[in-house]
Order: sequence, then structure tokens, then C-alpha cells
Amino acid sequence: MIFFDAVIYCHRHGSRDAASRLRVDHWSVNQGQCVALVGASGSGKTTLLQLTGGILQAASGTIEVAGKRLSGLDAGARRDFRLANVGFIFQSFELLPHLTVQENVLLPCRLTSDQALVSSALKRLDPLLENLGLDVKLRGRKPEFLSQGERQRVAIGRALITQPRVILADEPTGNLDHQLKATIVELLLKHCRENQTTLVMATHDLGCVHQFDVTSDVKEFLRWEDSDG
Amino acid sequence: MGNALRFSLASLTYYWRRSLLLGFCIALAIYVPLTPLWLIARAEHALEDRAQSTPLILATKGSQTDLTLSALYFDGQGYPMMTMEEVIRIDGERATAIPLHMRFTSLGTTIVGTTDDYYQLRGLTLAEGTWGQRFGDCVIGASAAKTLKVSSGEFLTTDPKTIFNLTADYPLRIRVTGVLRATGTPDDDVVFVSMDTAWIMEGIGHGHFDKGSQQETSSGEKSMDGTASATPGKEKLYLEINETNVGTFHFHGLRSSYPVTACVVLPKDTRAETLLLGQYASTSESLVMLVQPLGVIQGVLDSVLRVRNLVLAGLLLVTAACLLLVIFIFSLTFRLRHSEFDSLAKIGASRGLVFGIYACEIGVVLVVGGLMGVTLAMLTSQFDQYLIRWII
Repeated sequence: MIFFDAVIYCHRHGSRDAASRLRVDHWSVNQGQCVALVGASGSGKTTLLQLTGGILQAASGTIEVAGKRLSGLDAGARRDFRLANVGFIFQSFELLPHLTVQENVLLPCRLTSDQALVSSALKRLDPLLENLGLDVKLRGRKPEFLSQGERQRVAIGRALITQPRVILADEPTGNLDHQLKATIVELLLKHCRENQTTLVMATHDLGCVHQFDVTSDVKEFLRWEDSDG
Repeated sequence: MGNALRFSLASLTYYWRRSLLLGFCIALAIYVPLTPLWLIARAEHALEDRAQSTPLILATKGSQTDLTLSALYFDGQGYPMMTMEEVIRIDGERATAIPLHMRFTSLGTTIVGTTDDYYQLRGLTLAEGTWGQRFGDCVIGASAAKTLKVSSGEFLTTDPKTIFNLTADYPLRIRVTGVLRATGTPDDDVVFVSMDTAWIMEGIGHGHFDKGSQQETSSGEKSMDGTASATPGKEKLYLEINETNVGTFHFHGLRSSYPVTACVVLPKDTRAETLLLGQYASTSESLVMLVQPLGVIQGVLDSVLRVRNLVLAGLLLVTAACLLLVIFIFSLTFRLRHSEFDSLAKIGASRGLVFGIYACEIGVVLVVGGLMGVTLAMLTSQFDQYLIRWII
């Protein structure tokens, strides 16, 4: 499902000369696997997720996700691929404050031109929100009127609405209290296992990693190298 | 583009206070420099139009600017008088002479003594009532009628020239026979009487009547039917010309010696105008002068132009400040919302959509702000006559 081979990504640090290279010799995740990605802060977890989702482009090497080779795709093709195949969940939810719960969940549908994707997403909306425990009366509310847990549920709903084949979650429980963390992780794992969706979740919370199929420590397959730029 | 517009509209309505502030800044940036410029331009036009329709003015030598403003805008109570002789001296073959007398007021409103030629010159028509028919009649400008709250059939009393001089002439009670149609010019703000009535106010003309018919009501009191109620034993503190005493009014002395504030001179043609100007320019010992109001007004406007440019520079600074504020708020807002746009891009929004949202938000604010500015300007234009009159 996810395959990295000899991937090099160059990361510039603002000034022209300062740059570092991220190297992943080999990393793979199977279809339907739920992977907890652990590692110290700044170790490259977020960069790895963004390379997997096609947000960042590798300088060299091979990245394949859901049977698609991302390395040769241009920005537009990677965007289309992402909309159709990848769901992102962010630590700080990243909900648009001026959209309602329902509009936030349906956001990917407003960004894609794939009408089939939109119509299937619209059919899925009601059961999905119900599964996420988002009450009907919450759907018209703006994010500012939601609790932290409700906001993260909306963010999860936005990631799942297009029924992506891969969910990439970047510390989605980082801003939640202990009780909510467990609930959100449980919700994600349940959905992914039921739908055979591959989940890669970056986390610092070692207490929840036992629930995942695999725990990958980035330091085992990813390293940063200084570069002259 | 439709998608970008929907996103931007949702955002603009969500952050409505900010949007309103931005719109208001844009509106101010448009309104602040344009409206005064436009009003000044209109005022300049109004000044020039009035000056243009008054080719020449004859009056006692003095400040040409004072004379022009006095004669065109009836602000001449303090201007030194000349005699009617100067008016009579103007060759009727060369020009029409319209005398103006403006030494008196009624409740602060200037009373202008003139002839029927003046109404023709300015194209003044009656909105109600009739033109004056006898001594002591007046027609009143539209604004003055509103200010003084009088209509045809009612009465006005001239203001006493001095309240301490008991030997001075009494104020004259004059009958309003008509109200003029509004013209948006200074003619709206005054009361017009005949030259004879003006001279009666001066005390040159007077009537003979028995004391009993001149009983006091109260000074300045208006009476709807024009008859004063009698209070026995008290002498009236004003003179009144009525049907019974009008026949007794007469004038003493030579008409040529009667006072006149100024005289509007309408030359028959350019040649006549040149000759008249030459005639008065060549007689340095003359006590009067003939001025061309347009030239004087243009001279005044040249000075005003320099002040206007200074004011304009200030206003442009306000505009620049407003626009800088808009740019600052937009850049700050977009910076604060960077993560929002970043998330959109991460989820799958194209760069074009993100820039489209920026552009639409700026565009909508500019359009709405512009419309607000234009609406404000249009609202102002509803009152432009008053504002221009106030400026002038």
C-alpha cells in the first residue's frame, strides 16, 4: 500500500545555504494495516506523512501509495490523487472557522472535480456523522461552538468522507485530554479496520501504540543529513 | 472562480466586523478626497456662473473682491453707498443699469432693493403669490421664506439700524406678496423690494397720516391679514404702508442723490462693455469703479486653488492612510489565517483556488467599500446645494 525506496527529500531552512536531506532507504506499510509512527520531535514524522500524501515531493527515489507512483507526478496530479485516495487529520484540527460542521466535513468534495466522488460522499455523510457521534443539531454549527473532541471528530469526518484508501494522521490526539485521546484513537482504528483502510498515525503517546498493528520508529528507517544546499 | 467566491464570501461574512472595517476604510479612501474636490469644483462653477451672468458692477471705489461678493451674494450692508446719479449716468444706449440697495435686513435676512430688470436677469419666477404692487411690498426667496417662516400675505419688519438712537427712522413693516421659486443661488436667501421701498426704509420717502392709525402691536409681530391690532395709547414702533396711507407717501430731494449700494451693468454688446470699462478706467478722480466680477472671482479662485491643493494633499494623506490600513489589515489577516490556507492546500486545494480566495476577498471588499463610498457621495450630493451655499 505504501512503499518508500531510496527516497531523498531536500528541506531548506529559510536561508539559501542551510538545507538538510531526509533519506528513507526503505519503508513499507501493507494494505489495511494500522501503523503508529513514533519518534522524537523533529525526527521527520510530519515530513514522512507529507511525502506519503504527495504534499511534498521527493528529490529522488520511489514513493508508491495505493498503487500509484507519486515520484513522477506533477503538483496537480498529486493533488487529485490526494483528494481521491488520502485523508489527512491534523493535530490542531485545521477546520475552517467560517464553515459549518457539515461544510467542513464535505470540504474535500468542494475541492474535487470528480463528481462520482462527490455523489458517493454525499450519500455517506449521514451515516458517517452518526458513526462519529456528531449529532444532527451540531451540523449547522461553526467550529468555535464545538468542544475539542467534537472538533477532532469533524476533522476525522473530513478525512473519511471520500472513503480514502489511506488515512494519514499527524498527532491527532496531541491537543486532547487523556479520555478523549482514547476515544479518538478507538474511533479511527475501528473505522479503518472495518473499511480495510490503511492508517499511519504519527504520535508521541506511547500509551496507545499497543492498539495498532505495527509500531514504526522513524529512527529505524529515516535519517537526516546535513547538506550544502 | 465560483468556488473561490463562495469560500471568500463565507469568510467575509464570518469575519464581518473586519470586513465592515475594511469596507469602511475603502469607502473613506474614496469619499474623503473625492467629495470635497467635487464640492469645491461645483462651488467654483456656481461662483463662476453667477459672476458670468453679471458682466459688470458699478459701485463706490474700494476693494473689488468685497464689491463683487457684496453685489453677487448680497453681503453688502457695510459697503459704502454711491448715489443714484452714477446709475443714471450710465448711457442707456450702451447698457442696462440695475441698481441694488442692500443696507437693511429683516430678522437678519438681507433686504435687497432693486428693479424688475433684476428678476429678468436672474430668471426669477414666483412659486406663489404676486409681484409687489405698491410701496412696502416685497417678494421673498425660497430659503428665506423657510427661514423666516413667512408666506405671501404675511408681514416682515425691517431690523432697526440702531436700538439706541431714538430719533432714527422706525423700522418698516413690509408685506410679502410672493415667494420666489428656489434657484439654488443667493437669490433664495434674501427679500426683494423695489428701490422706492428701500428708500422709504432709508427715510428718504415718507407718508403723512394721523397718529391714531399707527398703533403698536408689538415690534416685529407678523399678522396674517396684514392689519395691526390697535392698542390705544401706545404708538407703534414701526411704520406700516397700507391701502389708506400709501397715497401719502412721497420722496424729497433729487432722485439722483438717493443712495445705492451697487449697480449691475449689462452692456448691450462687447464694444459697449469695452467702452464702459475704458470710460471708468480713464477717470481716476471718479468716486466709483466698474469691475468685471468674473475676473475678480477667478482671481479669488486662483488663491482658493492654492489652499485647495494644500487641503487636497491632506486629504490624499488620509486616503493613503486608509489604503495602508486596508493593506495592513489584509496582510495581517492573511498571515493569521495562513494555517487555514495551508490546510486547504494540504487537503487538496489548488494554488489557483487559494489565490482566488485571496483575490475574491480583496475584490469583494474593494467593490463593497467602493459602493459604500459612492453611496455616501450620493447621499452628500442630496445636500450639495446647501453645502455649496455654505462653502460660498
